[in-house]
This record gives sequence, C-alpha cells and structure tokens, in this order.
Amino acid sequence: MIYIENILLCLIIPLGVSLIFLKGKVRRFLISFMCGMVACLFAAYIGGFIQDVSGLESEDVSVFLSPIIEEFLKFLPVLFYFYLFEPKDDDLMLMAIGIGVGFATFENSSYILASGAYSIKYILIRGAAVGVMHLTSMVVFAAGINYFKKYGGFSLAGIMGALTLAMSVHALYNLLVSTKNVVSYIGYCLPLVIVLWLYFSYANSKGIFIKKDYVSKGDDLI
Amino acid sequence: MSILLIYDIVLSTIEAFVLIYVIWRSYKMVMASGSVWVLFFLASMIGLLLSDLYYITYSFIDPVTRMPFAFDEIAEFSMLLLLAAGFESINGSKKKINIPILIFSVVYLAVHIAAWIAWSGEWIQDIVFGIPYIYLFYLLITGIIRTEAFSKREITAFLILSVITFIVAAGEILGEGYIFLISSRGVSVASIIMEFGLLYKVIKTLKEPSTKYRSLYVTVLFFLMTLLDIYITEGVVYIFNNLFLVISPAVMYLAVKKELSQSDIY
Repeated sequence: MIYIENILLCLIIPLGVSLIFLKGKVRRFLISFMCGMVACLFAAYIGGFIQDVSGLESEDVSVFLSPIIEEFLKFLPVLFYFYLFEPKDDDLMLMAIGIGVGFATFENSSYILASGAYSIKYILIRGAAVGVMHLTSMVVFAAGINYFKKYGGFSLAGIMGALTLAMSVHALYNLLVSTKNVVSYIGYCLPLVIVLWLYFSYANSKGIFIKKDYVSKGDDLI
Repeated sequence: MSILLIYDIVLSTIEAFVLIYVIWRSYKMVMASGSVWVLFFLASMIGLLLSDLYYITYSFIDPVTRMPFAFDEIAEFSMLLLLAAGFESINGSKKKINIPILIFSVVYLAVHIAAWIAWSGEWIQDIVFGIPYIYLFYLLITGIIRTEAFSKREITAFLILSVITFIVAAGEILGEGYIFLISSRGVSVASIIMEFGLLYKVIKTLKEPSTKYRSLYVTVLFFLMTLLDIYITEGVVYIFNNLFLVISPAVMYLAVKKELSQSDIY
C-alpha cells in the first residue's frame, strides 16, 4: 500500500511555491498541471470506492471502469475552464495539455512507487504508452472544442460524443494491455500511433491545434 | 466459440476494414476541405471502428463471459452522438422542437429499448444507451421532413411499417408460445421490407443530381434502422441486416462525398 495523498503533497508543494515566481501562460500551465495531478488522485479514490462497493476484482476495475472515471475527471476541469473563462484556442489547448501531462505524471509516480523502477521495459511502457495516452486524449478533446467553437457545431451531443470517444480509446488500450501475449504490444503501440497521426494532422492543418509560434514568444516568462 | 460468435467476428472484421478505408478517405476530405460535418462523420466512424475492435478483441480474449461493462456500446454511443452533433451543425438556427416527431421517436425507440432489456436484463444501461438513438432518430425524421427527402407516399409506407414493427415487437416481448412465434416472424418480415425499401431509397437518392442534404439524412437513417433491426431479428434476416451494416459506412461516405462536392455542407 502507498500513501497517495502524501506523494501528491510532496510533488505539488514545490510546484505551488514556484507559482509565486511565474506569471501569465507559464503559471496557467503549471496550475493546469497541478489540476491534472489532483484529478488523478480523485480518480484513484473513486476507483477504490467503486471496487469496495461493487465487489469487482481490482483488475476488472482498472480494465473496465477506470477509462470512464479517469477520462471524466480529466475533462471536467477543461470544461470548467472553457465555460467560466471563455479562453482563446491556444489557452484552452495549453490547459488541456497541462492536465493530461499532470495526470500522467502523478499516475506514473504512484505506479513506480508501488511496483518499483527496476525494469527499464516496464518504465518505458508506462512512460510511452499510458503517459502518452492521457496526453493525446486531452489534445484531441481541446482541438475538437476549438474547432467546433470556431466553425459551428458546438453542442452537448458533440461534447459527450468526444468524451465517450476518448473513453473508448482508453478502454481498448486497457483491454489490449490486460492480455499476457503479443496482443498487449499492439496496445502499447496504440497511443504512439495516435500521437504520430495527430502530429501529421497538426503539421498539415491550419490552426486546429496550438499555433507553432505560441511557446516561442517568451513574453510571459519571468 | 459458437458458430454465431464466429460469424459475428468475421463480419465485424470485414466491417472494420470497410471503416478503415472510409476513415482514411474522410480524413483526407477533412484535411482538404476543413468541413465540420465531415469531421463529425470522421469522428463517428472512428467510434464505430473502436466498437468493432473492442468487440473482436474481447471475443478472442474471453468468448464465454459477458463483458462486465460494454465498452463496445459506449463507442457506439459516441458514434451516434457525434452523428447527431453533425446534424445539429447542419440544422443551425432551426432548433425549434417538433413535439409530434419527438413523441413518435420516443415511442418507436421505446419498444426497441424494451426488447434490449428483455434480452439482457440491464435496465439502466439499456435506457441510457437508448437516449442517443432517440435523439438521432428524431433529428433524422425532422430533417427528412424538412428537406422533403421522402415523398408523402414514402412517409406513409415508413409510418405503416414502423407501426407494424412496434406492434409485432411488443408481441414478441410480451407474448409467449404461438403469439411469440408469430410476432418474431412478423418482426423479421417488417424489418426486411423496411431495409430493402430504405436501400432502394438510398440508391435513388445517391443517383439524384442535387440533393441538398437529403442523401445524408437517408443514408444515416438506413444505417440507424439497420443497427436497430440487428438487435430484434434472428436467422436469415439477422444475416441480411449484418450485411447491410457492413455496407452502410461506405454508403454514408458516398453521401458525404456527394454533398461536399455540391458544397451543400461546410
């Protein structure tokens, strides 16, 4: 057993203190990163609670229920930010990336503490597969919101459709990697394939994703 | 593995290949045109592909145990919602609710949902998953009436077949013995007449020179009715419906391509 709250405190305090010295977009990114970590903590709590209440095995919860819980908790802060602050496209994308990366980082930290970091293979899988998957689902979601807001078609059906689509990708990944044979490697490759697809789409698209010169301005750094 | 499961896996695999082609072509269309509708269509077809892949994977991993949580249905849920969002983008400002059509959609889908519950016993799941079916069906019927995609005679025929399906499906759910048998055959006959009728209409609409969204509404209705009929039919009709389901993504893609080439969608 690991004390997940303590790990969160340990990681989040220096990040929180660093906010004093930052401003603008970098500060917003760091806040969203911390939101992602907190979302991961809540996901762990809810998963544990459902496991106790339903009597399901822990593997069943992680394969079949965690996609719903995790994706939902990642999307909530993005939607909150979108509706409350009406951000620009780039700001929304930055927020979504921060939440995805924060979630993945905290999840990876907790797993490594629980299972150890001795196997480089296991570490690479955690980093390149699960970690990347949390990021990609948020990038797609934010890109979708930006696109629909810009060109029409933004609606509850669209939001719910995007959310359940992300859950489905996550669920397929979980199912594939839950096997103990060659099929699991297809699962490990799935997030990277999606990232490559997104990258090429980004390279060919006109403004659906974050603008290329956005992070290189440097005007908001301390 | 049972014969029926092997058959389902084979057809899902063929459908997955059809979907990969449709997704690839739609992706190229989105990148070239930036069309919102095509983007929704692309996302919904990805949802359908995920549903097929999940079903195939799970069937190989554990062909005996029923899924604890049906993610193939969640992917279908996503696909229906994204198609509905696409039609919302077409409707634009015409968002006034048409109460009679809404009631018709709810009642017509209620019997299907009841049939799912009777088969699976999963009350909450089946009702929740029924909501996007009702919404998409409602959007399609309002769109078909607004764009005059169906003539008055076709609408009458559709209504009569819907009512017959409603009655015989209710008989199938509630009846026993002889009544169940007759109702079951009735569902199959009504379903196959409806499917062939819609297929004829799809071909006719795709051949029309200018359709103003009509081909989108008709092809998606064909797809939706096929999806619904699969769950309430069996035997030869079930096989036919599965074959229709395999071709329906390609048919929808042809409609999207046709509308985009006419600059009807943006």
